[in-house]
Amino acid sequence: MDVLGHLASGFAAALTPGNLLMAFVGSLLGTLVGVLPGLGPTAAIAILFPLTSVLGPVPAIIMLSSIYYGAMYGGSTTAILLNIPGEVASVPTCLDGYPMAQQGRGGVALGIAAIGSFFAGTFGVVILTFFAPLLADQALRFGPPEYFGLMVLAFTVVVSLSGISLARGLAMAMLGYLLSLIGLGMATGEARFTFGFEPLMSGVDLIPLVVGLFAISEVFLGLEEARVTIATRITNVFPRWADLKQSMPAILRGTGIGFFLGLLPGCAPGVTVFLAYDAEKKLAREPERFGKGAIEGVAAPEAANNATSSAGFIPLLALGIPASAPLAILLGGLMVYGLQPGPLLFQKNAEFVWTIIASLYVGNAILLILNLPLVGMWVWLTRVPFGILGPAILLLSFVGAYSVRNSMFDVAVSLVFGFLGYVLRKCRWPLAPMLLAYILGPLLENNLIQSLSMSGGSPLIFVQRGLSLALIVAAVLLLFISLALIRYTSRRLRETTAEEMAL
Amino acid sequence: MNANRARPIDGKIVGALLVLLGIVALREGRRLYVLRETLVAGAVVGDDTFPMIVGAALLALGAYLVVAAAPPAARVELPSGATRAQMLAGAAVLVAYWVMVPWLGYTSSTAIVSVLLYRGMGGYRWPVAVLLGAVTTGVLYLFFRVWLLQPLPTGILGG
Amino acid sequence: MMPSRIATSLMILVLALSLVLSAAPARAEYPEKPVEIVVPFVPGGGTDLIARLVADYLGKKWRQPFLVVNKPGGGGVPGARAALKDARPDGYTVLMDIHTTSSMLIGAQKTPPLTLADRKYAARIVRDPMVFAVKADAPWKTFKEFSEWVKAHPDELIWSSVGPAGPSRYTAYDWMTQIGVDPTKTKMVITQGAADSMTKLAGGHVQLAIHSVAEANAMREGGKIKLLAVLSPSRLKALPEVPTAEEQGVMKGVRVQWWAAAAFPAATPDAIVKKWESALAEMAKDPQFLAGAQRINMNIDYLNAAETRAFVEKEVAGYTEMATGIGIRR
Repeated sequence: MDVLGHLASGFAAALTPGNLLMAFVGSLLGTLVGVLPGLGPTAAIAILFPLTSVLGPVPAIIMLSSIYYGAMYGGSTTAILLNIPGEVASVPTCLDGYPMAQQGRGGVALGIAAIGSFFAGTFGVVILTFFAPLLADQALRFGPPEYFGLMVLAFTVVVSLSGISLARGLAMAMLGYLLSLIGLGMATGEARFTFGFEPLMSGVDLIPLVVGLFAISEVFLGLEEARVTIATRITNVFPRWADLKQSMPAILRGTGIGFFLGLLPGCAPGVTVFLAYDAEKKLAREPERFGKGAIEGVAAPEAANNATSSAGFIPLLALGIPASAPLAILLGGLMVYGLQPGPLLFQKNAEFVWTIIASLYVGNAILLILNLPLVGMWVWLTRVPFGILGPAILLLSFVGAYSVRNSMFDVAVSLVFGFLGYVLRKCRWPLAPMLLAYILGPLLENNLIQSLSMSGGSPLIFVQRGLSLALIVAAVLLLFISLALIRYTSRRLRETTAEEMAL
Repeated sequence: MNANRARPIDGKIVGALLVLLGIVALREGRRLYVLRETLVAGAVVGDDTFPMIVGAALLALGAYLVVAAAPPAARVELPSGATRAQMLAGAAVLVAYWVMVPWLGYTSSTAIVSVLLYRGMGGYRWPVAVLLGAVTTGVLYLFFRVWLLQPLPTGILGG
Repeated sequence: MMPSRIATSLMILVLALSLVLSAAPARAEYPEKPVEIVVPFVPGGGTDLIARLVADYLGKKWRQPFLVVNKPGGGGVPGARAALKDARPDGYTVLMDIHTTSSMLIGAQKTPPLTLADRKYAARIVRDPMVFAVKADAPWKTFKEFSEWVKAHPDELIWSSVGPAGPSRYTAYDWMTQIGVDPTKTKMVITQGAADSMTKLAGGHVQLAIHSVAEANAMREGGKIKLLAVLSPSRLKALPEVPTAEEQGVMKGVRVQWWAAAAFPAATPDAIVKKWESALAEMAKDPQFLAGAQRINMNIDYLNAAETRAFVEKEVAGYTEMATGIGIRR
């Protein structure tokens, strides 16, 4: 079957009432949590992840990706209306979005953000549709040495997730590794790092870990910041024709920048949004308008944000490399269902992959339809007091951590990591490298051990096979590119927010 | 409200912690190495390989942080006063929740804990907190127990 | 602030309501409340699929919800222990027991965490034999031919196993010792599971994979692999063209196969276990259930409680001997 045929059958599956409902509920929930002040996509997906674990694999992944898209969009709502970026990716949106809101053009800013996101998201998915299968054709050639090369490549992502200090990122990554080692070892079946404590034999499960680190800690951080809300009046969300004409080139450029850089594994939205914003400012006839409510300053980074998010699905699905923390959680979600992202996913679970790709189109459309008329409701939601939100998130986290394996031990794990996550985030130790290493660590280990079992112990196997050699060389190159991009982004971030924010 | 100012967790403290964990990992690796020799004779790598690598990396990183870590650029504000009390109360209620569930069962514990959280963290008056708690518990019960048929703990006391 | 009187009474109301909601209904015949079937593995695996099929059948028959509870991790041991030792022996918790949580576990350890004395079997439901699979375009035509090649070039054989002490390794050991090959000379690649192992076989990264029929069938139907032999006393109805290892004169006897049985904690009332035994016997003849089993490639092969126990005891003896031979028993 060709790409279009696959896509058609994917659409047929994605448009069944059940799956359509999941995409709808996911977009709604994702936007809802993303809109809540201070909660970004990572927190949104962490809070809602356990809810999806009771579903089957296809509806669950559809819902998770819709949550991801929805939260991304919801994040821009708080950035524009309240000047609170939920995640680094929304920082540039604040720069011109908030001034627009102050000028009473908040509705237009939200509208342009929705249209830009839709355009960029759909563009990204179209490319994904045609590009990913090319990679997937190589699938069966990927043996343990090639996967090992891929994991080394994925590891360069730790650099771009490290934020302010590489040493801190690496330290957190090593801790994540250590966590992943707990449980039964694959080669001897022997318990590792359990110290005779039986519940640890099953290892530390992903969901309790994520719920603790990102959801429970979020409540404590939110409590402390005493998050306040500002009332804003929203009148018209439909941009005028002139606004559209003015922002269309910016949307196109933002999409281009966001998408093509987003293809590099490890280039998170946090990086591309700044590049897109700066490009607009440099190209503008009157750059002094920027920072005072220029509509291009909202359109470009929002488009870049969504283009990068969509592009991120390509390395995620085709190679198993997540570019950002929410995608890392999504990767974990796939693995919970025994779906190992990578070249083989397209062969072994073609039906699944195409349903997901089709549902990304559907999700983007739903978001546009949902967001333009519902902006008023989202604005109202930004005023939900934290006194209700906090306890609700905690109660949901508790039952969520329990239901994954029906284990009270898992709940204890999520509480411990909730408290630990609070301290770590407070002291600016980046959590994303820890999560990434925790998820990818076992794959790196398995493939290393398998490769060396195949070669009888000779490490030459990694350079003798062309594909694995190419991947390792690519990893080294990417390491340098990431280092350069990271330097640029943290400088821009410091200039913009006058504080250090973890990427 | 007078905020406490404290140093963020110093790189040196974390460094020392990493060194400690590195030693633990290396010891575990050593134990697994001995086991592997007996269980999978002839293998070159095994369950001990990664603990060893991670252990060595932790040791190196920890040592680097202890020696070279720059003093933190920004100071971290620790919560104080009412906020701290709220946070500690929230944490305590969560721990109590965990202790309570195996005895009282999920539903009863949630009813109690949700009221306490809305009261303690949210700062709502008792009647409001009880109402919010009842609604939350009802929604969670309907969603997990009735709709999704999740086997939540019923508790020794039968709740 | 002191709680107001209204608040206190509301609180009592909430508590009372929650107690009523979760209280058990009046006494009746078993089962009078939802029954939990514990699967000590992840959702979607063979054990989980068969448990869901059983839950569906019994749920309709006895008009009570049968909940499949997944407690994965730790090689299935913590989950099995939770069902057999920690749960109340009232018949409302049942374990979907397979070889890795029973016979293989007991055979490989001198002091196993769970023994046969900890369980009461109701019935064996599934028996799924092992098959020897090679890549579809591999040069060997028969299992005999392949075994001759391995005998001549043991150090060239790269084969995939699932776990260090899983069924694949036992089968390989049994086969290699019977044809006179030193297993330590061959290269064993430990994979994470059947799916992982089958893909490595299809990609040509390993030459041999040994799995149960249900695990190997998708790749076979996809034309990526071929089956050289099935390890069973006679050919399977579902795979009439695949000869047994014994009829090709390579191996004698069957000491490893996948199976699943319903097991209760040892103190469970006999009446309940009996009721399950006869219900499962009926189930194994139900056409609708059999059709469902065929969809998930499960070979339904019922044994009653006594037969199941004898079968598992015989397996324990076999695994004890093989584990000692491989050198993994301790």
